[in-house]
Amino acid sequence: MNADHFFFIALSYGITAVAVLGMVAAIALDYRRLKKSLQAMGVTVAARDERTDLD
Amino acid sequence: MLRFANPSFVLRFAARAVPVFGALAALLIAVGLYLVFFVAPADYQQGETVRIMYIHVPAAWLGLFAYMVMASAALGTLVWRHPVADAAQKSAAPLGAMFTFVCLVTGSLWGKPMWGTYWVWDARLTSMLVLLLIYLALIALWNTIEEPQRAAKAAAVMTLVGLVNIPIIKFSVDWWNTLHQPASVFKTSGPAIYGSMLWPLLIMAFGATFLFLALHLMSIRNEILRRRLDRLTRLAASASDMPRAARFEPAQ
Repeated sequence: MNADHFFFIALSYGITAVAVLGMVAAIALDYRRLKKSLQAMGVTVAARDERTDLD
Repeated sequence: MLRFANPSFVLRFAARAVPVFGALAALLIAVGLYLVFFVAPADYQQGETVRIMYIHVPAAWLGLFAYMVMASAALGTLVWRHPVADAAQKSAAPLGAMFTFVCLVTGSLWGKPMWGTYWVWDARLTSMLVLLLIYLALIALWNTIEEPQRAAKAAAVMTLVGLVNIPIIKFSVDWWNTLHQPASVFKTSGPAIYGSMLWPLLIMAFGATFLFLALHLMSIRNEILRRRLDRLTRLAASASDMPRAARFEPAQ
């Protein structure tokens, strides 16, 4: 494989991996933060999912 | 239909579907990457650089698919004024922006060794850049307007206006003389790619689609929880204000 081509291929896959894993991490951390905030307000996980009055 | 549009149902569905979609995405992408690097041949003209196409093309499809999801949700917002439609619309924008960004960057990195330049103001490239700008504008709009219902309505209108860009992207390679190649998979005469290259591409595309579905559901779940948390915070704030307000005597 041409070294130049290898550089462009590696960079493409690297940037894609960072973008995708970054998005997964951001969404997962946001979920964790929201769960903690709801628990801090005294809302249990089961009650949280059924509180339609809050929608 | 209303059962499926219920936020509590969406939360229950997300709890079950996210692990399934996530596992399918991981499996398909793993198999796809194996095929891309160990089975698919190098292109007779592009050489090894063709391997960038296996992420560039699915990213482009998902960038467009996310916008179609947003447009459908925008209709749900404007016609039925449904909170789940708002959440679906808002959650798809960052994902669509990410896939469009990946498409533009990988296309640019493919363009340098193949075309001799990272960028040309070609109709296909420019219309994809416009799509990314629309996504960023929609994200900014959601963050600018504080009241969720007003933000949802404004974003829905803007999403439907921006929909005009989708056929421009799709047909740009037919309507104008572009450096970007014309369609080679979705053609009336059938795909113009050999099976040894087409299958890895399709497997990567299905993997990316399941990844989008898993992330979109996770994101919708976050949005529903964020609204519930916001509502609880407001209820708690108004409850703590009540005794103080009751202490004020009306002026005589």
